[in-house]
Amino acid sequence: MGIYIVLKNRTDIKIPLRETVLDRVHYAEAAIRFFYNGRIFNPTGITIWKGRPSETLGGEKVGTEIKITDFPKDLANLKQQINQFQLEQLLTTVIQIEGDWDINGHQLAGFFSINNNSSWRDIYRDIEIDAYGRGEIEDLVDAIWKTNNGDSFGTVKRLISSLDNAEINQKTVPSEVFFTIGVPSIGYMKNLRAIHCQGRRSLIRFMYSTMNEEGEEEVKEKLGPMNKGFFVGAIVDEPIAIERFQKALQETLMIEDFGGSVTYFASDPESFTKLYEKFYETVFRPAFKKLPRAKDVKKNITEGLTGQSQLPNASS
Amino acid sequence: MFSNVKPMREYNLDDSSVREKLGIPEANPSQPSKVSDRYVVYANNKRAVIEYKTSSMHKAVKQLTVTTELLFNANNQVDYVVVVGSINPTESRIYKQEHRKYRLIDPSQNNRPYAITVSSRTWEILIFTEDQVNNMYDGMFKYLSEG
Repeated sequence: MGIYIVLKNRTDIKIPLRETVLDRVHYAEAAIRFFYNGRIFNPTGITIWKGRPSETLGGEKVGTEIKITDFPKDLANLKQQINQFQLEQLLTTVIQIEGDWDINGHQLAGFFSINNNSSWRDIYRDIEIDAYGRGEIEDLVDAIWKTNNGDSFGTVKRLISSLDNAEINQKTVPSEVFFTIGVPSIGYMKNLRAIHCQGRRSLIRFMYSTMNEEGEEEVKEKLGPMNKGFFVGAIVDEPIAIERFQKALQETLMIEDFGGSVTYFASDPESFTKLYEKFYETVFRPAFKKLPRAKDVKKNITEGLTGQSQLPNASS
Repeated sequence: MFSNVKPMREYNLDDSSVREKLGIPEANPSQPSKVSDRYVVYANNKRAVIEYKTSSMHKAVKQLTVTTELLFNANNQVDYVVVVGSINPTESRIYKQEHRKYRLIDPSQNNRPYAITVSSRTWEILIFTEDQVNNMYDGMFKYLSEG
């Protein structure tokens, strides 16, 4: 389980790619400082990898490895190295800040990963934060959930608040922060422990994808011709859907508002699955009831084409 | 047949006294978490490092790399390097199980096998699902013990 941060541009103005890399470093630094100040994470070294973050994975070390002795100075050193990279090479890198976690006495090795390589980032997002498991503790999120004396919600809120505060003067902002078992996979509600996102629409989009796996055949048969954005847009502001969404939330999750964004938090491992089940029953299933099946849409397309062959020639 | 294929000896690498016995004591208090779960010996004297993957695949690969290097450098025989677990749908873009050969391969790089290299020795990483582990006739233990 890890924490995965996704960044997005603050405005529609295009940002130079090197600045986007520096923004990733900035938010990784904010997250490290949050854990470092609580004496929870102690960074020990920084390695820049070309491609992927290990030789076994096909990566290659580039730049000079930094052994951490004075974190602020060492981070300034990293930024200096970044500025010396050719942009093309910089965009193939994964920067790993390794260190030691101490989560209520559980000592684990771990890392913060700044993913500039786009194919790696597609999977592990802009910033990945995690720990290696040991004994009963599987990894970072497991450690936070199991050992925080019931205050894991507090830890999540404070981390999100630190990232929020770090937005000042940045051209990107965190659009989603996932706290999950394994890598976040769209539609895998059972893996989620918390998600920070833009609000109702983001969470409903996430749940929509779950129907590909979990929905009944009757609903699955209707998903093919449907555009996700259109469907979510059609229900997200419907008062009846909002009311049922709020009711399902109240029964399953804890919620914290941060201005324009929201953190949804699972108090038990089943919370997100229960939320999906309730929302499916009360909103998705009835909303799909009158929609056509894929085979009916296909039949209509074929009939339309067949009918067109009988139309008068356009040139005549 | 079961007794022929199951491991003869199994070392739990979470246990510090076991690690010490194998000559890989911890360098610092957090290091054991980077070490894989098991080191096992089969009837044919083949030995495997095993990571029971619970989270992301790249962490499992890192743990296997660290453990293989530590064990090999401490003069322990290593014949197989194994992940037990399934591949998350998002990670399946870069990790896949090779049909019938059980190698962990990279579909984005022409199915290149993932391999660990230590001092000119190379081990291709194998992956088995839990079902394949439990099926002794066609599964992991048979494959490894006959290898």
